[in-house]
Amino acid sequence: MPLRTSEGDNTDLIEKACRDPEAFAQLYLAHYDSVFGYCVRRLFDGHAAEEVTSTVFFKVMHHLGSFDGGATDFRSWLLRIATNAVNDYLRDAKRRTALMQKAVINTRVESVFVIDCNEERLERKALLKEAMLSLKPNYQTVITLRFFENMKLTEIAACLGKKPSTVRSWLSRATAKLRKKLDATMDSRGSK
Amino acid sequence: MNENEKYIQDFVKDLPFDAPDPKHRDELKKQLLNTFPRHRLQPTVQPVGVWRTIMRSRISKLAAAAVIVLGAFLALNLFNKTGGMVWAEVVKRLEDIKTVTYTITADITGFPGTPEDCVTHIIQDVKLSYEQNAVRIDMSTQTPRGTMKTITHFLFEDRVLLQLMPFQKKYLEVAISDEHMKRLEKEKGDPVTLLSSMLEHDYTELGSKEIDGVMAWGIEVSDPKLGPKMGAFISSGLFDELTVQLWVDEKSRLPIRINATGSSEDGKTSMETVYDNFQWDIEIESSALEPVIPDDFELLAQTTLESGNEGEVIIEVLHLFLEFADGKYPSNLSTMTVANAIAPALKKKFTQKPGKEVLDRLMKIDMVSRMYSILEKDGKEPAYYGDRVSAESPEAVLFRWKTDENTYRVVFGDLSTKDVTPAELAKLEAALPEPQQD
Repeated sequence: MPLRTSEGDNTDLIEKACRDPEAFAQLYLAHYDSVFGYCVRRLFDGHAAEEVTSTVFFKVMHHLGSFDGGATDFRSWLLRIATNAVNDYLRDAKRRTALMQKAVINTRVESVFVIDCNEERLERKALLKEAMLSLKPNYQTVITLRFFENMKLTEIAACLGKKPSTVRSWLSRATAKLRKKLDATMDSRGSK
Repeated sequence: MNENEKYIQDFVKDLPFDAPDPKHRDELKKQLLNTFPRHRLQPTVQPVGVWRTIMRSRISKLAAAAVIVLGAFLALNLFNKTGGMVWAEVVKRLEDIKTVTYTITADITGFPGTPEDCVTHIIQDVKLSYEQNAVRIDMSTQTPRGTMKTITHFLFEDRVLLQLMPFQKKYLEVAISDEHMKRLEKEKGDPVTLLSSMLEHDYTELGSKEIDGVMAWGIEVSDPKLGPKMGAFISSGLFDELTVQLWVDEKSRLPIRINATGSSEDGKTSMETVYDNFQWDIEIESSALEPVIPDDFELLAQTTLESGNEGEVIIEVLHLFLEFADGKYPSNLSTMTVANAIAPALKKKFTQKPGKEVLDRLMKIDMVSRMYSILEKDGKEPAYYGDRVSAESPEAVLFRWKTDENTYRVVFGDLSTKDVTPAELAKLEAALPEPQQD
């Protein structure tokens, strides 16, 4: 589920959460699933997503006082922190390789244990993961924000602190590259 | 939506992903609440809240605020003491000290954000108690434009430094991660540990001379790496060159004066500092060491000092140059050079009040040199080529460090990054242009 927020409802809670642990816990619980959801769609791995989600909320706790509700909405702010945390995580080449390897294993495990998922979807997910993780982090980011978080170009631009024209060009290149990679992988698997 | 986008949208439809695990959610909640910053629980702390009101000051004050945070390093390094050699007697005396107060005065020419040749005069009154694990620094920064006063407290148990600006009714907050705290505690900082550090160097004996009617014996060391061990505005490797003299009372065996001179950018920025008025083991009222944040004070900026992300912090600062200085990077990563290089671009960019986010990022400038030193100290072989690489050279190596035994992370002129092998790095560095001549 994409991150959702109602700024009117959030503002008081955010202010209170800066100094009140109970309010912070409330804010945390309201956004945990969304942040985890974003991370797991970026990383395609539940354990990695949990690790990064933890990093995100520790950063949120330490920097909540710096959230500028006048300049950005809370959703964008959270997503920016989550994006940076995921990209930092992926910068580690070893982690990236491990995630790629896990893709295959997870898909096999899922196909055995997950009853309500059909093989086709799991295969599609494995293909997407392989193709996505081979893209540059900024391309991965715009694709996830656009197609999983259902954000508009202007919202993505505000979230990433970039111009909409930059995001448009990233998205255009990212989708073209991703499609090419997906097609190539499907062709190679099909030919085997 | 174009054809490719439509394709991707269809492709990702209904894909199954792991659901959140309530166990992790609850465990993380527990961890977060256990480490919730305790100082924020004070009823006197004004809700820091949402950043709608940003400081009205011009960029010179922002730059100053960024550098002022360096007071943290003095406070952080006050509580470790070690032994020495012929000076062992002095060190031993200092190990028994429970409190000390002293004054630091400094004249800095070329302080970031000030006009050329303008001298910034800084006075710090330091009170520290080894018994109470507390420190307070009252600081006054005087420039031709006016005087800025701050009161800095370090809350050791909370791992937080608070800096109050009484005239502006604002305060800064710097959180220190536990891991970073451990690192800082290992380094030295106060007069006690500065002496030990100097003794580890190839120091020069200055002999005996009279200071304020007292016969003192001195030693001298020239090494920019002493900066972090000195705290305050001369910490964190602000200067490319640094010479420190320490004078000890021959009778009492206690330091009575420290002189430091520093410079960077071929003398464009220089500093002369004196530590004196030392009073050892005097009574300090505990109320003086307890921070009080009045209700009407507003949080000005907030940052965190962490370990393990040194290279990333440096990249974040370099991004300021990509965004605001047309991709022309500082010639080296000494903090003064970096601050001076970005100041004109920021002045040009922000004719009106800048956003809070920019201020938070500016605060990282004062960490740059320190971060680089940590990479060096940890054997991560950092190298920086800002003297020859700009954003116009997107394929040239601007900065790199070692991430593991056979991998270097390379940051290119356009600040894109890539992990490479030592052989690939050698190839990339062989293609570097020659340094630009001024």
